[in-house]
Amino acid sequence: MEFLTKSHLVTSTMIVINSNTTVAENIMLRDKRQQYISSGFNNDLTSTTIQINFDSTLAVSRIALIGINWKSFRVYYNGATASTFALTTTAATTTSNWSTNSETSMFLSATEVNCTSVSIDILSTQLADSEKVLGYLYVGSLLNDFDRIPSANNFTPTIAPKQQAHTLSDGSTRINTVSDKMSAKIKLKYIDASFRNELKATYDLREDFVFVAFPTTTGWDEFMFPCVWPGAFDGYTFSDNAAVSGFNISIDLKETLP
Amino acid sequence: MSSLLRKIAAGSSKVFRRALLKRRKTDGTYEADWLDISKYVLKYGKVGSSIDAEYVGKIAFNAPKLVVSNFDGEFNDETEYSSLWFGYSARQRSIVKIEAGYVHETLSASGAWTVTEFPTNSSLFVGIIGGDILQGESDQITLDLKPLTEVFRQYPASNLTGFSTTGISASQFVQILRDHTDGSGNLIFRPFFGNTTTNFVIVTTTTLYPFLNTATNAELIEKDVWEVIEKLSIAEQYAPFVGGDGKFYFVPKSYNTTTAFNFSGLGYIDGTYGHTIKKIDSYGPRGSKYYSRVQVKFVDANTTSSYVFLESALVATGSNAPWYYGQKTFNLENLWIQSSATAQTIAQTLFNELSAIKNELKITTSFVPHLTILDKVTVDYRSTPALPESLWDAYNWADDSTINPTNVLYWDSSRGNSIILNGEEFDILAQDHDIDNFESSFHLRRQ
Repeated sequence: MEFLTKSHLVTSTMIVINSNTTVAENIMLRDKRQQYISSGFNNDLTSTTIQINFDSTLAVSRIALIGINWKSFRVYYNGATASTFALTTTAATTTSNWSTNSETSMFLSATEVNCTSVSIDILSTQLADSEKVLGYLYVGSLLNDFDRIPSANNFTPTIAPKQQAHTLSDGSTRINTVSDKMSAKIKLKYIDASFRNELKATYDLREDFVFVAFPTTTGWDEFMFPCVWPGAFDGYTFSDNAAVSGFNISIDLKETLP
Repeated sequence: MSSLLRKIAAGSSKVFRRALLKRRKTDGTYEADWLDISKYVLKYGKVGSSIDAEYVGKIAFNAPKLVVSNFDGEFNDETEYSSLWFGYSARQRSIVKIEAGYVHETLSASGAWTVTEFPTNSSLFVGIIGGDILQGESDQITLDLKPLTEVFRQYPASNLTGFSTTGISASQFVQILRDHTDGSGNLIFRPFFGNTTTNFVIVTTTTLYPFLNTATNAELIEKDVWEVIEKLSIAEQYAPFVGGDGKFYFVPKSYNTTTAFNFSGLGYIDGTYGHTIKKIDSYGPRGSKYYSRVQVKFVDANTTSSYVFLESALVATGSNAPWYYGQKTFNLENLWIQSSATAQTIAQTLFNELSAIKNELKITTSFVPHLTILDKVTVDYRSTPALPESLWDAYNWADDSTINPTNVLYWDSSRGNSIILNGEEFDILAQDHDIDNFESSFHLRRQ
């Protein structure tokens, strides 16, 4: 369970792509149905590259790929294909280079590097000779790594739709759904002052950030969203009468636009 | 294969709404592409339009007040660096378009999503930012949107050019404003309508109006362009309006002849259009719109020959409308009507419409975004299985030895407010779309 920096990808002008540039900005939106799809690259012998250029040197240690159909691809930095990321979590490879991927989403945790660009070469697709697609791309770094996860009772992840329900003249109901938004309620007990202060630092940013619940490279549940932390910070509440017992904190995260 | 009708009929559908902006550049022209400002919108409000809904000849547009978030000053004055208008001209008369509709999404085996929006043209409103743009302490700003007809109100008719000494027709008048420039080749009205002549839908008229001979004619000198259009429309029995698609229509009221939709509700299963009626707000004959007499004045002088009259004779019998609704006169004064014959035609059209008692229906429905005023629709609604024909129970215990549906046990479950509509045809007089709640309402009049 992690809090991450706001994605380094903040404007469509940072994206350099080979084709279909008008839909490139879709990769900034968490909704994977609004995806980038290549045009004229439906051939496994023809690769395409998505490159994200930063205005300055930035730290990168976390990359999320949601809604992909890639079989063979590599992720690297500073434009050098050899500069792949060193993955720190169990994955099919130890570097960000895949030849027979079958996942449609993955979260990459890597050794942090400072770089000015991140590139993805997409070489082939899982269904041969398809256009290459990408639903959502996150590129950033770690803010807080929870040293322990909350109990099941104290973690409430929710996907809540924005809906209008119409009761029709015969009593039946019709629903219009505008969009689905993620949210999460987290309660932690007995956390130490050090971790409390890390969370306070994130709270004090007064900026949106990104929450990912259980990041993994295989079988990922994709529960990740750019969020805000509205309301009060209550991490100074003692867990018990003995100060050494630590602190309790309640965190209510709401999805925001990237 | 999905379609708009399937989406409207479906029990659960995904919908979308967008607010788009076109700013005016410092050279006075509008930017080419729409800027999506949806992420700032807190409240869309309602969009709609009406014709002859409250009284005959009245054309009205319901423009929304768009409430937007202004956390970072995006909607501040163009002199501020944070403003969306920084580097552009003033915010006033920027063009705003509101689109809404249904979305159909499918995932292919290759991993590609196909996202299709319905209707194909999902624009519901095109207008301009008007009124004051005021800031408070709430970090919200309300943009008072005006229909595009406002640009006609904001221009005096006497500034137009292109008149002819013998006068011009109504459709020619619309053409000259379509092509009107500031004298330096810069179009005045067309930029608000997509900057193309094809967005002016004009059905040709032939009557020449001598008043339209020079810009300084006394009939024009105190009028704005919209007032002239309204006068001409009444004289021609035309409807001038801006469609949700942003086009300007100057067309006969009988412009649409085909049935565009079928609304259905309680007691009727419609496999094509679905069950869309949420409730019937009101239904019944509109006696308030009944006139037994139509008087058209087309010459200024107060002499008999300046008027055309048509009326229903009052006879004190139980079936005489003037007797039970009263003798009411509908007055129309339009000195732009060119002849007694034309006045007679107009009077006859009005008389046919107004002297007939017609039912009007107001309904609230689920989101039906593609209809517009002048469209024709049908309605199916059967609130009870039996007609409330008698106070004394139409169907009694009786001899069941013979097969006679009126003579066997049949419990009449009809109520006093029974409304039975069997595919009856209506014209749309008014429509409103609540973009926040994806709900529509319609005011219909029996054909």
